[in-house]
Amino acid sequence: MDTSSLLQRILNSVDVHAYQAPVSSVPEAQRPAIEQIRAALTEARDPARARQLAQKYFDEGALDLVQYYSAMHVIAASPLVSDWEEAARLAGAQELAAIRRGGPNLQQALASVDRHRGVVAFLNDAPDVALEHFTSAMERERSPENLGNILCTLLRLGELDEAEQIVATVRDTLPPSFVDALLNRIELDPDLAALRH
Amino acid sequence: MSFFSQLLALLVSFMNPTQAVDFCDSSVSEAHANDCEVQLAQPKRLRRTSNGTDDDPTGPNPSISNGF
Repeated sequence: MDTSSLLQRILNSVDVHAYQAPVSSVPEAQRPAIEQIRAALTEARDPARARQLAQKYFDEGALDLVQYYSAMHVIAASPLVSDWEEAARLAGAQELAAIRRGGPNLQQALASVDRHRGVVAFLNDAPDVALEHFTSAMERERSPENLGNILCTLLRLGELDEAEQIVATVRDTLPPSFVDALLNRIELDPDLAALRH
Repeated sequence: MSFFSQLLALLVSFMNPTQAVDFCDSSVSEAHANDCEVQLAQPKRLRRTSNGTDDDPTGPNPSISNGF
């Protein structure tokens, strides 16, 4: 039995399952295109096809430059690719495109950049750096996804008490819709299992 | 002020009702919005372990979310 091959299959399965790429922060007009790219990456597990789709939708105008770079980053940072230099470069390109585009969605676009940089740091064993990026993302976009990433990072840093305190604060003070979305992620995310109670 | 204190201060700043109104509107997808309507079952607390199983928050398999 090829045990190394078997182990790799197990790791691939675990990693693909663990890597989440929701489309909730994407402007609604571009969401259908991003959804197709997400499906190619996380369901079909075909990063080459995901790249083709990103290029196609960008060429057709279904994606603007900011979302194109964001999509290419998510593909590069996927466990199926793990091209960290490219992922980091694309986050910078996305930031510049967002700044140049400006407009009312600027903070949301920059939150996406912060999130991408945090993911690169987190998956390169630098949770302390990731925490700064995820906190910046949370400041710009108050979403359960961004708070969930902060909790993941605190747990990775061994800060269980602090993470529990944050969850308790959120449960007591934030709108039920936000709390329920966060609790849903805690329930589904193995990394957040320690916060279930 | 420690980083954690700053983080808590950030969360406390979210308690302002005028800011809290747009949580689901601006930052949560339609799918999440639907989730918001679901009454979740009371989750169970799992213990930390040191053998790398899923209920170990320091385990090897990050479930980080890299939303577009």
